[in-house]
Amino acid sequence: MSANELESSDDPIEVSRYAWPVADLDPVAKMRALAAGVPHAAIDETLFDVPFERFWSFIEDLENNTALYEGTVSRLRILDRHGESIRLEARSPLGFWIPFEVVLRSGWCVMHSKSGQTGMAAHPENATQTRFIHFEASSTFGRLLRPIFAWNIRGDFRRLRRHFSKTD
Amino acid sequence: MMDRDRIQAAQQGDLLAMSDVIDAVMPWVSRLCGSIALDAGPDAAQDTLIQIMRDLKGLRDPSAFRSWVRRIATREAVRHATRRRREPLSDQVDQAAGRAFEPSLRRDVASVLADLTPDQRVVLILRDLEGLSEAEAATLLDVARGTIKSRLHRAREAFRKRWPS
Repeated sequence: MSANELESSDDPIEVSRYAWPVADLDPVAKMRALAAGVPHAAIDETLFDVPFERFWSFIEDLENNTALYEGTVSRLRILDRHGESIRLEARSPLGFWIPFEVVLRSGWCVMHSKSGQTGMAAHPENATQTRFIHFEASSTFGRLLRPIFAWNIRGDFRRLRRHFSKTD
Repeated sequence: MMDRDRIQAAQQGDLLAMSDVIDAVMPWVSRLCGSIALDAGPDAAQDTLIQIMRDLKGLRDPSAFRSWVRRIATREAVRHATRRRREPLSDQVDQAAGRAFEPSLRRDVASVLADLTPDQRVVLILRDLEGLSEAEAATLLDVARGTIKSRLHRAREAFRKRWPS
């Protein structure tokens, strides 16, 4: 290739940046990545035979519904809410109230406290099914509690299935 | 892209800050991986995010965040694109353009990109979409500047045949 030929290619091509192909990821794929950065996180995902809108409307009502399926929460109360940002307290089965900072939006919920982190994400698999991913981790006893969290998540899935089968 | 304090909070394990990191890099990672890896773009984008989340704590200088993300995304995109090259090009174009903002134009761009090798695509993206200099692209890809020039020439020529100025 001659120097002149190379000179002729000096000008950038003129294509709108919006015309370049994109590779979008759904919330479940993003949550897999987020959990990869949380040490000793227990993570699992499953498919529910429930349309996304119905599934997420249940999950996003944190105050009324979380304790119905989440084995580590016996009660939950929202303290403050600004758009997607929420401050809440969750009561553990042992009776301790734990403060959490939360980001909640459609298909995406992450909760952070000094002692632990949890994340949930959902995405419509098709018109009648929803893919759901859930992780839990302890900041202080991560490795020790991981098997317990993994067991708890499987229980969460069972309780959610039971809830949706009852309300069919 | 993100302020230094938020990156440092994410490095210290603040889950909400880590979530902010994903939100901040996603549009950019999506375009880099989609344009370089085409139909393998979603896999490349997910592996990019996983590597960012896993390795964020090891990033010593938060001001280097942008170039660090670009390096990870570029390498993952080239790796996935090279692995996927044996698939029929028409399938790649259909899938890469499938979530199009401007369907016909994006499909045309994806069609031209599919005729290039991954090595040519990545140089074109780094120079004409990312605005890197030849020297910066050569450093990122660990190749000689002459190699960047020749790959860029072929890639731009392919585009100009489709869209003469």
